[in-house]
Amino acid sequence: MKRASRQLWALVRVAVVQDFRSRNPVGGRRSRSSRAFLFSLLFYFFVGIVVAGGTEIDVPPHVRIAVLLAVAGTYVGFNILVEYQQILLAPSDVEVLYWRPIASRVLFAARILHVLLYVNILSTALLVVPSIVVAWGAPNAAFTTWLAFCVAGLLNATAATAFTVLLYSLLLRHVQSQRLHDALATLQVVMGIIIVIGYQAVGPALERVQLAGDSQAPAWLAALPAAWFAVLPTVVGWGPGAAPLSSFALGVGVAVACAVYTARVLAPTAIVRLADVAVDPVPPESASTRARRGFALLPEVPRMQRWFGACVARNPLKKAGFDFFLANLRGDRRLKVTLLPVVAMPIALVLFTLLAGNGDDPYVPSPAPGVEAAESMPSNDAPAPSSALQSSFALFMSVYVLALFTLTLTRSLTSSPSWRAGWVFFAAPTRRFDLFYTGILWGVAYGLLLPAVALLFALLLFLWRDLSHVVAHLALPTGLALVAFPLLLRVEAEVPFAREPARHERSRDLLLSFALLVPLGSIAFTHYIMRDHVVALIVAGCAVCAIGVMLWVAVNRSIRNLPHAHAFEE
Amino acid sequence: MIEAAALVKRYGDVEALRGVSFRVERGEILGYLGPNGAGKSTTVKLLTGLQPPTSGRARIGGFDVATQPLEAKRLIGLVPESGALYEALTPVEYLSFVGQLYELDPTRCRGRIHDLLEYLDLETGVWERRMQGFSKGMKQRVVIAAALLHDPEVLLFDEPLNGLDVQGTVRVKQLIADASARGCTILYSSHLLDVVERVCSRIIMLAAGSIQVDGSLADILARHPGATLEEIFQRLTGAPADRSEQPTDPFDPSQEALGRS
Repeated sequence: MKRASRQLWALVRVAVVQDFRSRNPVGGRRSRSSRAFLFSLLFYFFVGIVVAGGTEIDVPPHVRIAVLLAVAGTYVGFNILVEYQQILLAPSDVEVLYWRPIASRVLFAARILHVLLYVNILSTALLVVPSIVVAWGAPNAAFTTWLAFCVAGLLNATAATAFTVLLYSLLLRHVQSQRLHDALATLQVVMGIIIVIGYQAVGPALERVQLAGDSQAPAWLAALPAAWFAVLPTVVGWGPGAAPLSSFALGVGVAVACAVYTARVLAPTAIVRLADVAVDPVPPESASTRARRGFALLPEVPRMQRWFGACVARNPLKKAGFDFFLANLRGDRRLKVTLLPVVAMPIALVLFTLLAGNGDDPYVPSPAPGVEAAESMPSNDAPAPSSALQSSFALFMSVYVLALFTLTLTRSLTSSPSWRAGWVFFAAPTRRFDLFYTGILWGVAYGLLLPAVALLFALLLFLWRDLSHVVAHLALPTGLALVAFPLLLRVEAEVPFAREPARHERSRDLLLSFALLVPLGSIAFTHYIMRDHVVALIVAGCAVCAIGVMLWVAVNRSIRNLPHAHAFEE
Repeated sequence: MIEAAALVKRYGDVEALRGVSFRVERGEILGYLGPNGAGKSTTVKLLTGLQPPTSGRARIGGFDVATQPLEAKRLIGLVPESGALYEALTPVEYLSFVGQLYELDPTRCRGRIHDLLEYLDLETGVWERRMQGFSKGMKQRVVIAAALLHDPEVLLFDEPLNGLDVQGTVRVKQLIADASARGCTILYSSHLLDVVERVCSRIIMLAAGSIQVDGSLADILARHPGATLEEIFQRLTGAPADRSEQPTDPFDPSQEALGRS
């Protein structure tokens, strides 16, 4: 036991030290990961302020605290998905640690503690302001309420982690090692979409509770895990009748059950399975299997790729960039897992909005009788006016999420676990690196952007049956995505896949995306209120697309000799 | 000390090891030879518990690697082929961390780190510097030190000379001889015949997951009169020299090997 705890301490300490010592290629005192983590902390703190203010509405305290904890849980879930999956799997540890006399339980516990450390620090940063605001408004002892809120926040973050770890461990136990990476990637994409849709649903749900004007929490709250933990500060601050204590017991019970099952059943064999996954070579695929995998949604796709490549990338350097990106997209799970959810997100959000609201064409001018009726006659059954607006606006916001893809793409294109192979760019005897980059962009267009836009186009055309409305809806966000890319590249042009990934950078980028949702939301709202001017929207969209192309041509000059410029810098 | 009993390892349809069996006695140095993909590294992974065998059994010091992994692993020191270590740490930090995992006394551990790094010729100026900027040879010296730190009874070397300069190579050969003299059992997996020829007391040649020959260097040479170890290796493992057709010279412009006209 003593040996195990010493090993555990040593493992966690070294893991954390390494996290903050990633390579900093451009010099400076702080490593890239430290800066990224600091950014995340600050961002979470500000999100906490915004959320605390946003939930300052007339709803039962249990609902309000549950929503605050749910938001924290959502961010925690995102973080584990985008950042800390690598800690749980840690393929780099296999040949350093797994042959040493460390029990599987100890190694597994070290992983979980490592994740929990970050999860709880970030969760605390987010909840620090809401905890004070909630405690301040409680009729009973403010300090005890604040303390109870903190405990609930930590329990909530821990439970979210326990649940994610349980999912991973179950996959590890039951999925064949050669398929595990694909299964994890799929889980990541699915969970990401579920989390975003859940996030979208919070606003309307809160409004319904507020409109109902009931002092009791709604029934659906019982199914929200964050609400189970929210019982503790609610009861401490507002008295035993304010929330059912049985829910808190249920929350703690579920978290403990997850932890016990993981520790007793999954942890003893987890490391053996992880090692097996990390060192198990994937058997060679046949050409037909390869054609069916990943992006090859149609059997004709490889031929289509050749045809598309031949059309847009005739220059050998362009062709090299085009094939290079698509090969990376097929083979690099990290890239796939980063980019696919961002492309899938607008489609999932549009689908969700259509399913949650209605599939009506918002570009069809209407006197909005439903809204007027609802305004004049508010009732529980009638659609709430702002909910109707939200539902319709969400349809606009959903497609603007596409522009975020550019940011994620720009960041993902620079780093790779195989970054050492980047020497080839510095050694290549070419002075037209812009051609190579253009080829990469055609690869991005072919592999990701065009399929996503085409799918959205087909979906909306099927529902609305009006080509001009669909074009008016999609042209502007697509144009923005096209404009953003050269702009971002102008700010930070780097050699593709030639930088070592650093811890916390992915979550930093994700948070940056969340921050960008604010200006994007303003553009989406302008688009929404301009929806009657279909022709103007189409013209504007086409103009923005054209500006994107022109900007790309302009930026090309600055990246023409990129690897050589970087080589001289270093 | 090392016992492999009918070890089989399959990856899907590919059979990497086909019933490999051998024993290595205390103080013996076994050269484990084979061309790329013969199953050398797979054997090392099974012996160290990095992977479970599909069938068969591996024992270290009498402990079954599958059922008594901690007892078996306490006896092992491994120099992996990849040379993996935590590059964000300094050599001293990394080795101290390894010492903590084995519960070595901190004072004794510091002394041993000092001795090992000095023995392996790692300049004292870099002991407290992060390994991110180290050359491959410098990192390999730290990897070897990390394998020896807890004074293991069994040493498994998987291509240990990767990246080492001449001086480093000589030092590792000396180290292997010294360890063997102290009673340490060594499995030296490599495809470099000259080193194996010089340091190993016994040789196993592996090809396509099966043992082709097992014996001392003198025995093997006696069984193939007039042949060098390299020729025997090529004959038994089906290495390129046995091909009837010579491969195309990729730099010969007349053969248009690069597809240029």
